[in-house]
Amino acid sequence: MAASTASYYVSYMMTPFETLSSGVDYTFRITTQNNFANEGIPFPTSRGVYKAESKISYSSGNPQVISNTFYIEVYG
Amino acid sequence: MEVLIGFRTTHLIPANGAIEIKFPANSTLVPNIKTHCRSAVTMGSQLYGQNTGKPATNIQGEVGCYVQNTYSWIITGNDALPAGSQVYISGVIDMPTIATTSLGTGYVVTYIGEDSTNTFANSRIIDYTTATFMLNVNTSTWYPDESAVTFQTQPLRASFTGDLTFLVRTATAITANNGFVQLFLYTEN
Repeated sequence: MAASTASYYVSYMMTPFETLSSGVDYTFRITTQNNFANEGIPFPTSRGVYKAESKISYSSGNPQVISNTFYIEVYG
Repeated sequence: MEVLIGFRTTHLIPANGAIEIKFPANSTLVPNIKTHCRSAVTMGSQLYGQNTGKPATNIQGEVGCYVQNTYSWIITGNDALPAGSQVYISGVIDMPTIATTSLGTGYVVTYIGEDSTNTFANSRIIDYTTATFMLNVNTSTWYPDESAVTFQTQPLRASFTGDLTFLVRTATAITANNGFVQLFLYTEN
């Protein structure tokens, strides 16, 4: 995610290999595996509050998508 | 819980008349009815009390209802009520002890007078109607949607490169190889 005045986003789609139960906390971790020293997501170069959205679909038979909007703060 | 019962009078109810709201005689569906109720006519004015005559135009007094024979509200003390009046009685009863969509069959009766022990048996009936007292009581417990995503905040510094972790909890299971969690990160707020 690079800081920019242009409005665009990156998205990450995660489909579980095993069913995720309701009411259970699952920790997701997004990173890179390039075998370089500095792995991971590049965050904005300028501080600020950035918008993030999550969308959850339970199954293809239950296509209702739950959407939440969040704001994450990147410190200077 | 508070319930609202509405009906329209076919004939005039004279002063000193009475209205009976008879709930189904079933202690499971209607464990208890309370002696507190309110009334309205045509969704506006109150069901007026009787004319005191002091002054002549002054109609006042509180219309009350008392419980008779466990399952009936008897509403008395009202002034004459014209034919065709839309009447609403609101009061408090105890919840059914089982899940149900109906309290059963009750009735609404208007009388020319009242009786202190059994109005239905001893007073003259003007109008009489039976109806199913509908009510939706479910056993299901209400849960707020607990689907949530929580982000880490500590390492999110400018120019940082590293993992982003977040927590997901959903109210419904996410089916393997079928459902998904999608995350969008925007470049502006």
